[in-house]
Amino acid sequence: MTNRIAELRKGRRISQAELADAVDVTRQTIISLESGRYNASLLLAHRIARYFGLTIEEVFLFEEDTP
Amino acid sequence: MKIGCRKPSKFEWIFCLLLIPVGIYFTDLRHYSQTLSSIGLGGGVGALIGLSWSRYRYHRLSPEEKREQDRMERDERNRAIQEKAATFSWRVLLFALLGAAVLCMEIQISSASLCFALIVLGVGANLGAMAWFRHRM
Repeated sequence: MTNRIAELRKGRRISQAELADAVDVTRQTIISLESGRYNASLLLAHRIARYFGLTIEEVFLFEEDTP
Repeated sequence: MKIGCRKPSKFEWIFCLLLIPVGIYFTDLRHYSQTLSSIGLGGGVGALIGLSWSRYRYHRLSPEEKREQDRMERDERNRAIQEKAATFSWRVLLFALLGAAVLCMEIQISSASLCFALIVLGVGANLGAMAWFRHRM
């Protein structure tokens, strides 16, 4: 599963630390999410999507759906 | 995460406090139960000291550092790493215990050395697994 977290974060000029604070995880978790080494749980995916004001499907992309 | 710098859980306090009476109970019994007495008393007192030190260090942190430390303990990735490492080290210990049981039947080996070796193996497997999963995840 891939995601657009880095793209969305940079577009809104938010640092990894700020995003981590907002969704209550460590900065290392955000780094691992952006690099694709870690897949977020449903709860964390929901928190991140809600933070960006998007749906989960708009932030996280399943490999089958990736063009 | 700062090592030895967290709030110990109630379960950890209770476990340590239960080890000490177990150690005292086995002190006056037959010779080979001195190992249990050592584990109970030594382990219980040592763990109590360690937990108290950890709690003391935690309470010395600033509010921001405390918040950061609490978040590191709640963090789902850290929990996932710990659970995977615990599962791996449990499997290693299980096979080690089976091997130890076979060894005990074949060779005369002291139970204290075996216990110590198994503890070292378990802790080593857990720490190694955590480092590995932290790197991979």
